[in-house]
Amino acid sequence: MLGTDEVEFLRRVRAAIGPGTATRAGQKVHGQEKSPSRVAASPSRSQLLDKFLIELSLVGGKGYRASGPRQGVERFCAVMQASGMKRAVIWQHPLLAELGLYSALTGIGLECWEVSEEIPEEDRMARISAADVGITAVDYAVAETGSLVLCSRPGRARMVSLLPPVHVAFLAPHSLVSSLETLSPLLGKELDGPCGASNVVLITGPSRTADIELSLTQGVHGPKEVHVFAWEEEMPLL
Amino acid sequence: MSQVALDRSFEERASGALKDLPLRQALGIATERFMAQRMNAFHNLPGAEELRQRARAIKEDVLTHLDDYLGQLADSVRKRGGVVHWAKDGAEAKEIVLALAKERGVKHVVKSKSMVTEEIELNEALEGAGIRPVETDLGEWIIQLAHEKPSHIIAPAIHKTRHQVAELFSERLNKPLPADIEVLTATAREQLRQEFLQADMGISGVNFAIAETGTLALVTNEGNGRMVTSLPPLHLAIMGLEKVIPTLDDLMVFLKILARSATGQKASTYVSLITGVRREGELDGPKELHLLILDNGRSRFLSGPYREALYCIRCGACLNVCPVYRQVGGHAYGSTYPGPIGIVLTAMLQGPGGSKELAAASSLCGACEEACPLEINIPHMLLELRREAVGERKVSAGERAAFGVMAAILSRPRLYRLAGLVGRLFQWPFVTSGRIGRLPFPLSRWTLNRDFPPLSPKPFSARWQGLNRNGA
Amino acid sequence: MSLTASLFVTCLVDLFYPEVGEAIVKVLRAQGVKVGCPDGQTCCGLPLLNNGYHSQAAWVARRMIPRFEHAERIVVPSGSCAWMLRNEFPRLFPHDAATRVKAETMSRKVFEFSEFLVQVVGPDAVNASLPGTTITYHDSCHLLRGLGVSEPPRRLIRRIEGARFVEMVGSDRCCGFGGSFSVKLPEISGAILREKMQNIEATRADIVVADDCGCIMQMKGGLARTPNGPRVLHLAQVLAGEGIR
Repeated sequence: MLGTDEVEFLRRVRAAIGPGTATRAGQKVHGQEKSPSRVAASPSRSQLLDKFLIELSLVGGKGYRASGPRQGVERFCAVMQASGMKRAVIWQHPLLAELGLYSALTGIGLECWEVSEEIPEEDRMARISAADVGITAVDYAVAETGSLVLCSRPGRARMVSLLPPVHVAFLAPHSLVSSLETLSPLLGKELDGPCGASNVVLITGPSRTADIELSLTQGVHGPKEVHVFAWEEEMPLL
Repeated sequence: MSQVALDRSFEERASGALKDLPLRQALGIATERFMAQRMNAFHNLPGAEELRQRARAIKEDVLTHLDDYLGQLADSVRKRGGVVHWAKDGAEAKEIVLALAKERGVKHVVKSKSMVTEEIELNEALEGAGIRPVETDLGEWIIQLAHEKPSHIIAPAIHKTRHQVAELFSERLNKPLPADIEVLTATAREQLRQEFLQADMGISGVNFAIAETGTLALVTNEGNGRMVTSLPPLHLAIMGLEKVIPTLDDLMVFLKILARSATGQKASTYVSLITGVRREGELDGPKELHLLILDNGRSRFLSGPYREALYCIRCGACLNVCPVYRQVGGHAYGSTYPGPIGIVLTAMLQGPGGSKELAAASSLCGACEEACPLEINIPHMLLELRREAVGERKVSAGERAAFGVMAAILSRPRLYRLAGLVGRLFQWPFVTSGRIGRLPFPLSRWTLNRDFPPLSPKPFSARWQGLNRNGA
Repeated sequence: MSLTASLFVTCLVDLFYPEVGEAIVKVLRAQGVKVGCPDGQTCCGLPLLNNGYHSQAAWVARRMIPRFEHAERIVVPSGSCAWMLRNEFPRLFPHDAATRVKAETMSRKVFEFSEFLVQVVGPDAVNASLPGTTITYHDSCHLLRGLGVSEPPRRLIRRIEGARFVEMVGSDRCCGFGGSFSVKLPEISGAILREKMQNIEATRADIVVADDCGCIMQMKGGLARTPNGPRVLHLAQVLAGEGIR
C-alpha cells in the first residue's frame, strides 16, 4: 500500500494538534444560529421569482417569465425558431415530458435526442457536444443568487447543461427557494442514502473567465448562453 | 515550485519585475479591479462581518478536531464508492498518483486548476512517467503552454497581455491568431474540448470537503472543473488536509464569502458537489473516484503561531491589496504561493530549516489582514517568522551586528545621546543646503531614490528644558 | 480641572524632527493642557520588534516603562509608536508578570496625538488658520489599521480656518516606509512611494499631512526630488499654524 496508513496519518494529526480540547467534534458551537433578520416574513412566490430573474440577468443569463407552463413552452418554441438552432439534446425528466417539449421541438423542425443509454457510452458525449442546445429541468433554483441547482440522476446527464453552447432550463414554481441557507437541508436530502446524487451542480449564469487581462468573456468551456423559462402557477395535476 | 528558487534572491527577482513594464501595467489594472470588485461585493452583503466570524469559528472547530473530521470524511467518501489515500508529503503523493495512473493505463490527463498540484509539482512527475497532463483552466493552460508558473492564486496568467497570449497560442498551435480575447477564448474552448472527451483521467483540487456527506465541493467559473470531474472514467481529487469542513450548512457560509473575496461575484458560475461515483443508470460521471489527502507540512502548523494560516481558503484577496505584491507580482516570490499568505505558506512548505527570506518582503502595513475574509493575522505571523529567522541565525552577521548595536543604544539613554552627538558630528560632509542626497552603505540603499533627513542640530530632548521653563 | 499629558517623544521626532515636538507642545498648551516630558527617553523599540529582535525590544521597553509610571496620560506623536506602546508592550513580557502588569497599566494610558485631542480635549480642539491652503492626508498603516484611527485627524484638519481638505485616492495605502523595509528592499519601497506620490500630486494639495514620522521621512524624501512638490508636515505642525510658505 502506497502512501501513509490512515490510522498513522490521523495519529500524527492528533499529535500535532496537541493536548485534548474541551468540545468534541460536531458539537455545534457555531453554524446553526440563524441571524435575527431571517425571522422576517417569507417572500411570496412572485417576489422570489422576481428576485431570481433579476439576479439571473445580473450574471448574464436570460429569464423569461410566462403566465403558465403552456405559455412558457410557446415562448420557448418562438425563441428556438428565431435562433436558427438545429440540434437539441434533452433530459429525460417528468416535467419536460409533461410540457411536451420533445414533440414541440421536433414540431418546429429541430433534431432532438432525449439522452438515454441507447447510444454506446463512447458516442454519448460526442453527440451531446454536437448539439446546439441542451435542455434540462432544475431540481431547485436559488433566488438570492440566480442559481440553478441540477442533480445527476438516470436520464439526466450532467453534460447536457455543459457541453452545448446554449443551456435552456425550465423552472417549475415549487423548485424556487430563497437562499443558500434554505437550499442546504434540501441538498442534504438529495445527497443522502445509497441513491444520493453523485453530482449536484449550482449553475449561476453562463460559463465565464477573466483570465486574460481581467476582461470578461462568456462561454469558455461551458455554455455561452443560459436561458431560463419560468412561471408562477403550478401545473394542474393530470 | 515548493522550494523558494535558490538561484536568485527575492530582491533580485523583484528588481527584474520592477523593470518589466508590461507586467507592472497588467498587475496594476488587475489588482485595482479585484480590490474594487471585492469591496463592492462585501459592501452589498448584509451580515458580512457575522459571516466572517462564523467562518472563523468553523475553521477553528475543524482544526481543533481535524483528525475526527478527516476520519469522518474518509468514511463518508468510501460509503459512496470512493477510495481514500493519505500522503504525508509531495513525494508520497506523486508515488500514489503515478501508481494509480500506471495501474489504469492512463496516458492522458486533464486537470482543473489546483494549487496543491502545483505545490507538489505533479505535472512534472506525470510527464516524467510518459503521461500527458493538460491544464484546462484558461489561465493555467496559458502558463502551461508558456512553461511558466502561476503568478496569482486565482488568476494565474494575469501577468500576460492579450498580445502575449495571442503570440503564445499562435506559436504553440501553429496558426496565426489575432490579439482578440473572444477569439483566443474560443480557440481554447475548441482545443480543450477534444482533450476533455479523450482523457483517461481527470485530476482536480478540492475547495471544500464535507465530512458529513463525503462531498467534494469544487468552485469554478469556466466549466472545465465540471468536465474534468465528469468526463474521464477516473477522477482523482487532491486536497490539503485543512480543506475539510463539517457540514453542508458550513459550506454555504464559505460559498458566500469565497467568490466575493476572490472576484467580487456573489457566486461563482459553477459549484460542483461531488459525492462518490456515478450511480447505476446515470449517463455520465466517473466510475472511479479517488481522494488523496495531503499533509506536506500543514500538520506542523496545527499548534503554534501559524495555525490561522490553515484558515486560508485561497481567495487571493490579500495579494490584491499588498503593496509589495502589487509592485512585483507573483513570480518574484519564487514560490507556489505568492503574496502575504504565500510567505507563510512557503515557510510551511519549506519546513523548519527554511530560509524565511520572504518574511522580509513586507512593509507590515496590515492591508492583508483587513482584506482577508477570515481575518487571518498575517502581519503577526510575519513578525514571528522574522523572530524565528533571528533565533535560527538565518540573518546575516552584518544585520545582527547592526541591530545589536541599535538595541544597546536604545536601551541606554546615555549611549543614545552620545550616538546622536556622534551622528550630528559625522553627518556634515553629507549635508548640502539642509539636504542629504547620498549616504554610505547601508543607508545608501535609502538614498538610492529618496533624500534622507539630516539629524537636527538640536534634538527635542535638548529643547525641552527651554520649553518647560517658558510654557509650563 | 486641567488636563495633563506626558509626551512620549519618539526617536524620530527627537533626533530628526524636533520641530514636530515643539508644535505638539504648542498645540496642547493652546488647548490648556499641561505638558510633561519624562527624561531619559529613547525609543519605543518597534524597529527591533519588526525585525525579529523581540527580546531586545523588551530591553528597551523595560527602560521606558518606569519613566511613565506617574503619567496620567501619555501622548505619542506617531501612530506606529502608539501602537507599539499600547498593543505590543504588554506582549513583550510573556515570562515576566510584574513588568507585564506595568506595561498593561502604561498601555491603558497611551493616546496617539489626534486621538488625544479629539477624544480627551474635545472634538473641535483646533485653533489654527491656514488661509488659501489645500491639505491632503495620508493614513499611516499602524494608525489606521493598528489603532483604528481614521476620523480624528481628518476632523482636526477640517477645522483649520481657511484651509481646504482634499481626500487623496488610496490615502489608506502604505507609503512604502515599513521601517527597515525601506532600506532592505529600497527598490520596492521606492516603487510603492512613487504610487503614493502620484496620488498626492493628483490632489494638487499644498500640504500633505501624516501623523507618523516614518511616513513623513519617506514621503518627504521622495517629494524632495520632485520640483515644486507639496510640503510634508506632521498633523501637529498644521494645527500649530505652520504650513504657509
